[in-house]
Amino acid sequence: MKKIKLFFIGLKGYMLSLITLFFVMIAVLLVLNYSFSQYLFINRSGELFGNGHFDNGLYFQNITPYDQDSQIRLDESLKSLEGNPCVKKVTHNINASVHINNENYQLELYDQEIYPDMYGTLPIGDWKSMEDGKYCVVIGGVIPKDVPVGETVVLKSIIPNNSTELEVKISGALAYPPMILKFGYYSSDKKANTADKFYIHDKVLYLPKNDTTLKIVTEFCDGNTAPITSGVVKYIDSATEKQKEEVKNIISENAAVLYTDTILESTKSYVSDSLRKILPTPSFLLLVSALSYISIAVLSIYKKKADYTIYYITGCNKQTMHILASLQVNITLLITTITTCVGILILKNMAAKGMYSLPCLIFGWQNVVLTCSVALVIFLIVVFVSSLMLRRFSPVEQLKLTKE
Amino acid sequence: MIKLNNINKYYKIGKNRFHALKNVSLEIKDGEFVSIEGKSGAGKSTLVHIIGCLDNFDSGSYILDGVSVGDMKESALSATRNSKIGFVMQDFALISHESVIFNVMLPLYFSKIKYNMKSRAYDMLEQVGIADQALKSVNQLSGGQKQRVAIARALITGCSIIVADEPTGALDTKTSEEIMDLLININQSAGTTVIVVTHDPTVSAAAERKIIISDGIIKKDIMS
Repeated sequence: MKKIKLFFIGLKGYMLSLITLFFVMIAVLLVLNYSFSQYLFINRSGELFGNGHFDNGLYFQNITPYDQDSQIRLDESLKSLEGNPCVKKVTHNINASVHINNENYQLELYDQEIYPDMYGTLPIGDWKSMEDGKYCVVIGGVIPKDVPVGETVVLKSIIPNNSTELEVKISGALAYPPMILKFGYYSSDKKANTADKFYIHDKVLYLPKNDTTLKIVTEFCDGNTAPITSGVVKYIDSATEKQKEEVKNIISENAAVLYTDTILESTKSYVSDSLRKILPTPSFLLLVSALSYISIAVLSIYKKKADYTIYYITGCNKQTMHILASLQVNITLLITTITTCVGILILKNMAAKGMYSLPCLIFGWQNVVLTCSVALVIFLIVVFVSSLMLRRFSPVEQLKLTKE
Repeated sequence: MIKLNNINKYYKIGKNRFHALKNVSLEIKDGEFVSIEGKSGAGKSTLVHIIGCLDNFDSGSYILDGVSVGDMKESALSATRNSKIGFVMQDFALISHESVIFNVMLPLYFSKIKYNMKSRAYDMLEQVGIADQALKSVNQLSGGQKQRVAIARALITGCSIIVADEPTGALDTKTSEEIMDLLININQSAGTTVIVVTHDPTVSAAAERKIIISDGIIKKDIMS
């Protein structure tokens, strides 16, 4: 207790520099975490896309979607694939806007062969088709207020005068962050077509896709679902290269196309490169602030030599001196680390509650581990440097110098 | 009781070794008032630093109240400095940007004994006659007042030995006399052993025993 008091009394000497350092370190750690969160998003999207069995497929994107004729031709191309022996299925987004208790959601039809594998085991509930005679939905995004998982809710169309309703049971919820699959990106630079472009943060209700639910969604859209501007043509496992090429040629007349295996490879390279590309700037900032931090630690010990001499002659041992010296500087680091970690967790919880959206970022326990690891390294360096300085510090020499 | 036997101390100066204390043997009984005199560089401060457990020695033995100081670990040495020895320095050795009361309480922060710190500090300041300055910053005090603060700090853990290294070196004649009177009073009233390093004849006159050291050797040891 007494030494704790002494510790805080000793801080008075350099409060201003510690406060400045606090804000600088917070800013640097936030920049670092922001970059790392981008990496987490890219990495996670790669995992999801890989899990979703999108390999051995052909991604298509209508690059002139507002050209009705172009869309009509694409629709005809896709229709012509029905019955094609090498095509297993065509996956694309089909959704309608609905609301629950004044919260808007996308009611989206999901492929039961893809989505449960893509998202994996749900943290709450399960992927179900029907229960108690009601369709089951899985929520991605914010769970509606007062409607927990397991409860029943009535979905209504957001279109005025559209009286379509559907009573559903919420059978499960996706984990944070709600990375919702949305086709619609294409770049002529093949390497730029990576899985992170196909995931967004959104609020969605996943409803199993079948002929009946397709009709329901169409009704929610006043009879007109959005045109199919992008999606994936999934080949059968035994499709030959020639057959794949033929399908590609059909679709490519009216859309930009890219084999999904190319997307997966580009994603792998992007994930491994992303850290290399994202982290240099925050790492440099961190290095500079860590050096400033260490400099302040060194300077503060140097400036306090006279005080430590007095501590020594009044009965303070070197170990206590060392602890006081290291902690007095590292207290800022400790507060900064705790503040950053708490801030990250608050951000995450706020995003999970839908208070705001953090597109293309994932904040989670990995950020906390990164922040604590970085802080620990700086802490150890400061302790090491302080230890070196104090080992060389001779109170007797200091007394002689003062006397002279 | 302080017993030094054949103490040798060397300092490294560059590649060379300087023999600061040469086979110094000395006994100081409890309650003695001793002055240590000699020219600059004679080894006075080195001797009192060893007596005060501030510095180690290269050979010989030092027995303090029956305990061998040479065998003590660092934690024991610091505990000894805290509980048995109080220091009064020429430059006062106070934390100038802190208050008087904090400076006096400082040894109590390192003491294992639980004290009512503020109360005890005020008692010490009363004893040295500057309790009314308790809340002032040290740098607002005169030299004499600062030295009184240093003495109060030295006494606060109930030490049995005060080591004063030229305590009047930075003071005028009148203030020096006041400080010496205070040290004499402490020595006589509480039986505290006082060891004073000095060049000042007035100071050495107050001591009952004079030890004169030259070139690291005790030349004379005179009882007044």
